Amino acid sequence: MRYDYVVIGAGVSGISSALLLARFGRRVAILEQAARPAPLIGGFERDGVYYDGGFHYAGGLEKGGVLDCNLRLLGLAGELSRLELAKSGYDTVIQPESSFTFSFPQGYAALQTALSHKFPAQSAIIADYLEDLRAATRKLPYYHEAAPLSSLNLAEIHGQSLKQVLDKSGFAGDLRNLLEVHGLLYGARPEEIPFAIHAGVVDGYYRSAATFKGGGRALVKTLVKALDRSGVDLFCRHQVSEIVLSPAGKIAGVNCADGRCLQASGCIATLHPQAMLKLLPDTVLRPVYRRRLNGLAETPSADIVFMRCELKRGSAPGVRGELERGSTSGLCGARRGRGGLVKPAGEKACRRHKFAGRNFFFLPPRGEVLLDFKLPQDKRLLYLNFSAANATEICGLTAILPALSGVDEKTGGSDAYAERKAYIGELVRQRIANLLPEIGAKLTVAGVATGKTLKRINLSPKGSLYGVKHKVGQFNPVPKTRLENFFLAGQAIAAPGVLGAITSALMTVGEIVGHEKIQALRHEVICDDE
Amino acid sequence: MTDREIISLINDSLIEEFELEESAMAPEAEIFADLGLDSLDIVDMVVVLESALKIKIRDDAGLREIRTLGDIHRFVIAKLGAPAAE
Ligand SMILES: Cc1cc2nc3c(=O)[nH]c(=O)nc-3n(C[C@H](O)[C@H](O)[C@H](O)COP(=O)(O)OP(=O)(O)OC[C@H]3O[C@@H](n4cnc5c(N)ncnc54)[C@H](O)[C@@H]3O)c2cc1C
Repeated sequence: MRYDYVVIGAGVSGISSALLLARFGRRVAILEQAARPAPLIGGFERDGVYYDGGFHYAGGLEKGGVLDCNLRLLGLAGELSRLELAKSGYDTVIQPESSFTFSFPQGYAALQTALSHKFPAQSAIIADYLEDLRAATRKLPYYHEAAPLSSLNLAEIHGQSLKQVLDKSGFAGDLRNLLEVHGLLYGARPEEIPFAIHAGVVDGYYRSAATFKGGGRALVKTLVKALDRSGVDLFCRHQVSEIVLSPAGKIAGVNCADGRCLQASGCIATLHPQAMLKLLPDTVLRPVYRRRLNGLAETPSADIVFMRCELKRGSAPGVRGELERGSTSGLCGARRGRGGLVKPAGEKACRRHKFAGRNFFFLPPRGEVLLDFKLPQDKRLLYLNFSAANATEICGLTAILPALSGVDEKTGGSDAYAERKAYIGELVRQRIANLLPEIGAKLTVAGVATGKTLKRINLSPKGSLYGVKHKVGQFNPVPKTRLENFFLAGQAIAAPGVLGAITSALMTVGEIVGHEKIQALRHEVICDDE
Repeated sequence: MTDREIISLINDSLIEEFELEESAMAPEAEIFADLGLDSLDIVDMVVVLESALKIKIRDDAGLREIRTLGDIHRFVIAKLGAPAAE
């Protein structure tokens, strides 16, 4: 069997690329090294509790929202149930030292009101800033209809950083922290992240924050079903070790580590760009390009602690007034959500953990840099996600404690590593018990992942959260390469996150079949941006 | 640096980083047609020139006017001669 395209990696970007190519009549195979597709976002189950892995929530899933629209483009309309996270507060930011607390409500209007209420003196700059944020997304390809479609253009990448934008308006203190805290979702500091990319990530969440019924696992299942329907062949446990070129220097196929091979006349590589370089002879891509890719900065890594948390709805006293108010709304069945793609979740009465579908960001001490991952672990930014996926009183809680990437290299033998994991698990459990006393006694550590785990899951060379960083002044690769019919996709190309991964697939397949064709398809599935 | 030094620094960097032939480095050589670069190489060319000459040219509109190797020479010399942008 000879394929038109072989896609390396069955992550969100690889599966999306394959679906789109198939839609345009190409014969496609995907090769994935892991035993299952999209290992990064599939999550896992332990003792009957589901834990999300590399997907907790997304923005822009409301009807006509950017992610809703992109999922429709992939042919997934109506297949996933959208669960809107807590209406009055999906993300709660807490500064433990000062007891400062703020919950992000759903929607721009509510957010603007809540921020202005909390910071009345700043209400004018808040309004302007939120407007700037929305405007910035209009320049992103495949985000907004009017945006240039080919690739991210240089002016955007080397335009202003988030820091410059915030400085200009004079944001400071707690308010500034609130506007910067979502940097955790892309793993770069305010002075590093181009404002346009920041906007592309947070804009969706500010519009509406949701997940899928069944979590990341449900997304993977749906994607795989779509592959099947589209006639794409998916081969797991196939680690590509080499891209094979014909004597004339054209793509001929790929070889796998176990000796199997596959013929194809084109290839989309979605793995980490530095790992991609190892698959090609050095003579194919220019030295300067290889050096650029090898020099790309990496996002931070993380220690991730999965905890089982059992709590009856409304059974415990609130942690803080504000917290309590945000905690009970809208999640159950999510019927009140603006239904996007995505039929609203079932009507069944549900017993649900009172924190299910809520996230917490615990900030480092005042005066410390928000995303400083060199701080001691008990001071560093701590992110908690109470999964919405389990419709019971037992909740799968994921705690993410960012860390510098590559630190795990130093951890010695397996005993030392197990010890370190146990230490981290306990440290994080205790930290949460102190921060949220009402659940403290109900927490059991179910598993710990580290940079080493991240590295193993998707063979990302440095075990980072989001692979290569997006950074002002850094030129990330574009889909097209010098090698004919060889393209790149994935979070390094467009932006991190499920949205970034799908966007990269649109950019890449747009290069292959013509952007105007993707645009026409977009009109067909009716995506109204506003 | 004299103009000649600048030119040879530019040429040497491009020869090394893009694996070009020294004999092809005539000022009238067109970067796409004669030197075999393509639009994808422009980003790397900018990176190479910036690091070889310690200048910042990525935001410069003049970049778009470049057609020949001589254009690159003139562009960079002008840039080095101009007072540094703040
Ligand atoms: C802890 C964590 C939490 C996250 N939370 C969220 C969230 O809440 N919302 C959100 O939107 N995003 C989230 N993300 C980010 C999101 O998961 C990623 O940005 C996205 O899934 C990346 O998709 P990708 O296709 O670019 O990369 P990947 O999923 O890494 O795809 C690359 C694939 O290639 C495979 N591969 C590698 N080498 C080879 C080889 N040689 N041969 C064959 N296959 C190979 C890998 O196994 C992998 O499956 C999170 C990430 C992490 C780590």
